[in-house]
Amino acid sequence: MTRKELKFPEDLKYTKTHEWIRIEGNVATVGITDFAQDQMGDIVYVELPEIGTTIKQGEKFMLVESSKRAEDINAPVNGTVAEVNEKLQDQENTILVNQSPYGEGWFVKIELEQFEMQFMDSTQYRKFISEGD
Amino acid sequence: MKTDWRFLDTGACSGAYNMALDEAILNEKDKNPSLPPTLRIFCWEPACLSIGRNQNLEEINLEKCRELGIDVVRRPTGGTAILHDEELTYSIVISSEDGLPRSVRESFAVLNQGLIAAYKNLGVEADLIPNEERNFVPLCFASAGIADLTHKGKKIVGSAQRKIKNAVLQHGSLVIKHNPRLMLELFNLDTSQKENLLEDFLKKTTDLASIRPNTNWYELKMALIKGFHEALGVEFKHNYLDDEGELREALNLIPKYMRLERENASA
Repeated sequence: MTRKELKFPEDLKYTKTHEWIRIEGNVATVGITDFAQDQMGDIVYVELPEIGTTIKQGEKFMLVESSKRAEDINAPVNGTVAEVNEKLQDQENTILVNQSPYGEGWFVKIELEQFEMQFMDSTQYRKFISEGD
Repeated sequence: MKTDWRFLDTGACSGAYNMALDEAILNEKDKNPSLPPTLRIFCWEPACLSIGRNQNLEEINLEKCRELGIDVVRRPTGGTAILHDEELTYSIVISSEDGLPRSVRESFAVLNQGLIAAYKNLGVEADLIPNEERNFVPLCFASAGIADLTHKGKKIVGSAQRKIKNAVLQHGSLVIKHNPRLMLELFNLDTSQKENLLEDFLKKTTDLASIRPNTNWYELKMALIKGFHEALGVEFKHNYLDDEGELREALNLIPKYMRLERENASA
C-alpha cells in the first residue's frame, strides 16, 4: 500500500511516534495510525497495559509485536488506563490493528490528567510522514 | 547510513547473559543515540532454546530441557523458538539517527545486506524473502518471513527485532549445523506432530554444513566483518564494552532473563 492510500481521519490527532488519539471529555482513546500498521506488517501480539496503570506522556506504556519485530508504543498523554481492547488479547484478533487501526483495532481508553498538546492534525501528520520518516 | 561502528565478540556465554547484554546495549544506545552502532557476535554455552517474547511457555517441555542440559531463555524480540548450538549469533544495535529506515521490512532489508555479503564471501548465495507467512508454528525456521534469508528457497538465517524509543536491536542465527530432532524433543508435541514438523523443517530449512561442509566459526566471523564492510561501508573502529554502563546493566538484567514468564507490558 502506498502512502497515498493510507487514511488519517480528520477528527483525530496524531503524534510524531505514530499514535492517534481521540479526546472526548476527560477520556482519550488511543491506537496506532494506518502508517504505523503499514510499516510494521501483520500484528501478531498486542501487550496491553493493566487497567489502573498510570501512564506518562512520551514514555513507553505498551508494546506491539508484528512478524519478527516487538515495538514499544509511547503514551501520547498523561493519565490512567481506564479500559483496554480485550479483543486484541486473542491472537486471532490482532490483525484488526492492521485492518481497522482507527476502529476495532483501538488499544486503550485513558482517563486524562494534565498533558501537553503536542499533536498534529490530519494534514500536518500526512505532511510529516511524507517528509522522509 | 553511519559507517563508524563498534564490533564486539563476547564469546560463549549463557542464554540469560547473552540476552541481558543485548538489552543493556540497546538501552545504552537508546539513552545515547549518538553512540556508534554495534555489531556483536557470540555463541551459547550451554546450548540454549530461546523462545519469542510472547511465545506460549506451555509449548516447551522444560523438564526435557533440564534433563538434556539445555538452557531456556525468553528473548526480548518477537518470533518463535530456536535451539542455539552450532551457530554464530549476531546482534546489531542501531538507530534511525544512524540512517536505519523506519519501516520494519526496509530495516531488515538494509541490515541483511551485510549478512548476504558475508555468505557471498563464503561462496554461498543468500536471498531476502519478499513476503511474510502468517503461520503460527512454535518453531523458528519452520516458517520464513521478511526478517530471514534463504538459500535456494530454504531458510538459512532467522532474525528478529526489538524497537524501543530511539534504538533498534536486530539479532539472529547464522546456523552452521541444525539439530532439528533434538530441538523437537524440547517441545510438548506428540510423536505424529513432531514427525510432521520435522518433515516440514527439513523441507524448508538448510544450514552451512549442508552447503559448505567444514565451515568453522572463525571463517564465518571474518566473512561477516568483511561482508558488513563491503555491503554497508562499515568500518569497525571501536571494540570495547563499557564496563561501567553496559556490563553493569547486563549483570543487573540477568535475574530478569533467568525468569521465563512473559514481561509485563507496563514494565
